[in-house]
Amino acid sequence: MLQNASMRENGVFSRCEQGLNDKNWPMSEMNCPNCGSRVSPAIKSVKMITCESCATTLLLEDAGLRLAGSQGVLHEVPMICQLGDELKIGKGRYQVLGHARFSYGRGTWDEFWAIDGSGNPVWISVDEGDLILQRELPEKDWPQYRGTLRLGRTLRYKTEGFRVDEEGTGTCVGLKGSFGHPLTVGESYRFLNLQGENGTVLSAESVGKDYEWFIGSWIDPFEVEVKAA
Amino acid sequence: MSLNPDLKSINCTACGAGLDVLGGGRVTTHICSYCGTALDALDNYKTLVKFNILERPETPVKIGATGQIFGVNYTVIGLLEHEEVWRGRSWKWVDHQVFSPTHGYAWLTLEDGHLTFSRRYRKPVGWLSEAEVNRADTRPRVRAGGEVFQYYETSTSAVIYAEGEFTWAPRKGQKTTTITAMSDTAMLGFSTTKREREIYHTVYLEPTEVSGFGLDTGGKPSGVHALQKLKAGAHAGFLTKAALGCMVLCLGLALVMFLQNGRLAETRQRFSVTELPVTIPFEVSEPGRLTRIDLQGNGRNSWHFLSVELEDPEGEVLFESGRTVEYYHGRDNEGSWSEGSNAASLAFFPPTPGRYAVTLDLEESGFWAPNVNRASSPQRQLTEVSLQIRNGVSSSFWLVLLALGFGCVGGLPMLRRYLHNRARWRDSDWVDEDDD
Repeated sequence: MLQNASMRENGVFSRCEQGLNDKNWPMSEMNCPNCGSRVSPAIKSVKMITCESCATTLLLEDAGLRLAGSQGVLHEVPMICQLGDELKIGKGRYQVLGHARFSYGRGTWDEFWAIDGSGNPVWISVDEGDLILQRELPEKDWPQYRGTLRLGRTLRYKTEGFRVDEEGTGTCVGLKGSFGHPLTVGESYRFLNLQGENGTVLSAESVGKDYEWFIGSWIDPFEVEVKAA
Repeated sequence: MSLNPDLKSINCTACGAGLDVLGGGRVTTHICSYCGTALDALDNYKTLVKFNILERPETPVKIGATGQIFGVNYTVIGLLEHEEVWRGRSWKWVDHQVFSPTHGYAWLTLEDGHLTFSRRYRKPVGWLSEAEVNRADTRPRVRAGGEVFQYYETSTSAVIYAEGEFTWAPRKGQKTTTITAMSDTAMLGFSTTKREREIYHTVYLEPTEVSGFGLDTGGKPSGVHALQKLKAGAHAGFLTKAALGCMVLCLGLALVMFLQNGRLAETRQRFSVTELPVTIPFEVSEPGRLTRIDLQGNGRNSWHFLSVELEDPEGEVLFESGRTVEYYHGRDNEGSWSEGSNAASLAFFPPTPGRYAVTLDLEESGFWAPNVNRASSPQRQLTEVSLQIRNGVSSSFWLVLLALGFGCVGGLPMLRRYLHNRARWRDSDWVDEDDD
């Protein structure tokens, strides 16, 4: 307990023998600075992980793990996939590594962080049968526009025309597993969904002044094959 | 968006009736089943408008009923009745809004006992507009999901009844124009209202693909639905291929036999009619092989019965027979025409080798329609007849007959498919300009 208390004070703990850069990844294991339980980031690019034992979220930093807060509560609801499942969508296979839930007040939607067959991260948004598979856009590829994006506004991205179809705010209510970037339970995220004329979906997420852009497409839930964990 | 799990029921803010909340977080409107008031689910169920629920449509599928479609659990959360009026006639149908927490919202439609399943279509596809259909010279088509969808019909319908939960706000009399296009397996509906446009993908539900919902599985749908697949036999594909393969084989063999023309037992001889009767001897070197006597006349618009008598090498009459040669031709207001043939043949199997003799005579003859205008249909009696005999010929007749039999067996599934497709497209409102 003392050791854990000390860790909490410092916000840092010591790594296990195997580190983040180990070639034997994902066998790398570390200990939760809160409860001491072993935690295993699923892949090398993981930036955040939840501890199953004490329900805390942990940030992976150069110095090691740092406590980030509570992982919240994920109520059991019928879902098309679960943490750890392997999804076959078209020709692609995706391993679900992280599960985040966002609330908009009247209800919730789920976001799954997964990796494809090449180990590249994707986000799968699951919203009552509406599934979108997206990848994060590097900043140099972000859409260019003037002013503010509002519902109904159109813009061109590359060769495709897009229209803002949906905007709203979601509050993160629960986290489980590993994630490629930090998320905080209780934090609100503004989101925009832009529907492309050729079926592409552009999404923007913002917290304060921080933006992230994602690009992808709709997925038919009847075309998703789930191999349960 | 999964609905807050605590929200299972509400009280109608207009009449106080308890209402189950069956849909998910995307439901925006809840129309009370008791008083017909539309409630705003996004604003504390405030009253919006009122529907007349006394005109509830008859449907075996009730709100709250659960079942499975393609193995996915769905619950019926709303009923919507549409009416289309065209040239004084009216069509009504009921759409059932169904919801699955994992697969979202969809429509289950029951029409003459046929069930269809419609969902929002989000794959890349071009828009098919009414203006484009009106401009098109040929049936418009769109490609989507690897399939080609051909224009089917344009319809404008109005909502005449609504009850339950919806992800939008139904309004009585609200009109929707839908352009539909159909592929071999599905239909795309391009719907436009005053405020938005959407594409829906509809498939036919076989009894094995849907269960529950209080549906009477014993009922038999009437007629052929546009999306209904042909119920071909389990081995229809194999049967068609095998039969058509056998047909081709028979025709090939028939061609080979047809080309085996034997050898000339007697070269072509030509006789004037005045020389008849004539006796022509000929040599048979291959007994037991088919031998054919070919006759050729030269009459026009006349008929002639030529008698044939055959004697064997012993001088015994083998048979007496005959053939009619008749050829008619002329010209009428539709152009030139011809009928019949001046050629005839008869075949026999010679029992022994040796020298046979055939005697040919003209037994009877006459003109066709003696009172016909001879200027347009000149008539001429037979003036000469020629004869040729071949020994060792082959007949392809039975093989051709067998090929026709195989063709019928193989063609039957194709005919069924053609008739089924014609029934599927019968309600299409597209008219090719050539059909006008």
